[in-house]
Amino acid sequence: MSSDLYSLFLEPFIEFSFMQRALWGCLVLSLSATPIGVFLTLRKMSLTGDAMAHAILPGAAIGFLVAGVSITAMTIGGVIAGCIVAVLAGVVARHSNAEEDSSLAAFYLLSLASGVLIISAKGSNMDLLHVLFGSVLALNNDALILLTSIATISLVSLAILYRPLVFECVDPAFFKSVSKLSSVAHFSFLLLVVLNLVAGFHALGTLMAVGLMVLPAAVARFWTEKLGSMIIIAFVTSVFSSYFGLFLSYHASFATSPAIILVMGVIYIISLLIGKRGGVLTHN
Amino acid sequence: MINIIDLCVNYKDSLALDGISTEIKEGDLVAVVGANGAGKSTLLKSIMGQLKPSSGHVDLGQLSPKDIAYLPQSHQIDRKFPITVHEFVSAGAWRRTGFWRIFSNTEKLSLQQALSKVNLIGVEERQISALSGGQFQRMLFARMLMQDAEILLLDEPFAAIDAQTTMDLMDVIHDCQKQGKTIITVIHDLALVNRFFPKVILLAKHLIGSGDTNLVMTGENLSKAGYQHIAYIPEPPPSIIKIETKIERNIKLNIKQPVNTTAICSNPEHYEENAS
Repeated sequence: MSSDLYSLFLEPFIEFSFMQRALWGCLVLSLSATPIGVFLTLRKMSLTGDAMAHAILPGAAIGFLVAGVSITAMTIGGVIAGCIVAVLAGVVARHSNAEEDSSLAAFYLLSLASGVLIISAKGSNMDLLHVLFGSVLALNNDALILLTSIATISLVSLAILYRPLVFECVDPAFFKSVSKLSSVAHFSFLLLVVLNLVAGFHALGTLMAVGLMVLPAAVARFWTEKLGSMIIIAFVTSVFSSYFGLFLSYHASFATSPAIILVMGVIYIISLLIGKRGGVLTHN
Repeated sequence: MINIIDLCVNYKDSLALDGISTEIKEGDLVAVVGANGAGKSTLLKSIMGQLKPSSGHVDLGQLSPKDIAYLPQSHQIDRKFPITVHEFVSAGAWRRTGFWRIFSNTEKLSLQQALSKVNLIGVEERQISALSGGQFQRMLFARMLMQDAEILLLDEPFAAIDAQTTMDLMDVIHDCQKQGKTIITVIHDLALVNRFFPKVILLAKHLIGSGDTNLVMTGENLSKAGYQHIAYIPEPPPSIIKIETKIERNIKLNIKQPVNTTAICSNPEHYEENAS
C-alpha cells in the first residue's frame, strides 16, 4: 500500500530530475508571483497583468529571432517589451479618451499577433508552442537560476515596498500627500510584475503566465480578509496546484502548464462556491 | 499665513481655477464653498503642491507641504482593501516613521489618543471594510490627527454621515483650532458653514468672495456661485444657538429631548444617513 502511494505521489519527483526541476521552478515562481498577484488583484489590475503577459511575447520573439531559443535574449526582449507596454498603457490612460479596458485589449491583441507572426516567420510549430505554453518540463540550469534570481529580487523588493504599496493601494490621494514614493512604488511594482511574467513565461508560456499570479490571489480573497493570510493562502494554492498539475501531467500525459492552471481553476471554482468570504453558496 | 496669489490651475485641458487671490491667517477655520466643479478640491491640491499652477502661486510662509495634513474624499479610498483600522490610522505617522522605521511607543500612544478623540477605541483590529460610514469618517479624522500637522485640509469630511457624527467631528475640528491649527474644509452643507465656520472662500472657478462668513455668504454671492435656488439661511440668534448646543449635549448623553425644543434642533435631513 505504502509503496503504491510512494510510486504514485513521490516517485516521479524523486526518480526524474526533469520533474524535480519543474517542481523547483514552480515553487520559486510561486514564492514571488503569488504576493505580486495578490497586490495585482487588490489594485484591480488583473486585466493589466494579462495584457502585460501578452506584451512580453513580441519582445521574447525578437530575442528568439536574434539568438534562437536563448534564455538571456528572450528574457531581455520580454522585459523591454513588457516595460514599454506598461508605460504606454499608463500614457494612454492619462492622455486619451479611450476606455482603459479597450486600450489594454488592443495592446494585448497587437502583442499576441506580432509575437506569433515573428516566431512563425523563423521558427517551427514546436517553437511557437514553447513560447505560448512554456516548457516547464524542460527547465535547464540557466532557466532555474533565472527564476530563482527573479524570485529573490522580487521578495526583497516587496519587503522594502510593502508599506508604500499597501498605502498607495488603499488611499493613493493621501499617500501622495505624505510621500514622494507614490509613483516610485507604482512603477517598481509594475517592473516586478513584468519580471515575474517573464519568469512565468519561461515556465508556463505567455498564455498561462499570468494565471499563476491572478488565480491563487483570486482564490485567497474567498477565504480571508487579512492581507498576510491572503498571501499565504495564495502561495499554498499555487504550490499545491503546481505539484498536482505536474502529477497529472506525469500520470495522465496532460500538457503541463494547462494542467497546473486547470488545477488552480478547479480550486477557484470550489472557492467561488463555498468560500467563507463571498462564496456563492455561503454568502448571506 | 497662507497667501494665495493670482492662482490659475489647468486640469487636463480646462481651466479649474482662475486668478484666485486670498489669504488665510494662522489658526483660521475656513470653509471652501462652491457648486460641483467650482475648483474646491483643486484649491486644496494646489495648497498641498500636488497640482502645479499655470500661473500665480501659493505661499505657505514659514511652513511647507510637510506641515499639511490631508483628509481626502472618502470615495477615493478603496474600502474593500484588507487593512485594519490600526494599520490605516498608522499611515498618519508616515512622515515620522517612513517605510523602514519601527512604530515607537510614542507613536503607539499617539495612535491610541487619536482613536480615543474620535471614539474609535475597541475597533482597532477591525477591517476597514467592516466599518459603518460614520466610523469610517471618524477613522479618517484619526489618521489626520496622527499627522499632527499645522495646516489641516479636509475635502468633504461630512459627506454622507449622520448628524451626530457630524457634530462629534466638528468638536474634533474645534479642538484642533484651539491648538492654533489652520483648518480649511471643503463643504457642501451651507447650514453647517453658516453655523460653524467663521471664514469662507466662495468659488466658481474664480473667486466670488472670501472673508467673514456673514459678509461673503450673501444671496447675491451665492447666486453668482451657482446656488440659484438656495436662499441664504441667516445666523440663528445666540439664544437659539445656546438651546441647540444644549440639545446636542443631551443627544450625546442620551437624554430624552423635550418635545417643544426638537423643532429647532439641526434638521437631521441635512445629513444623509450612509446606507452602507
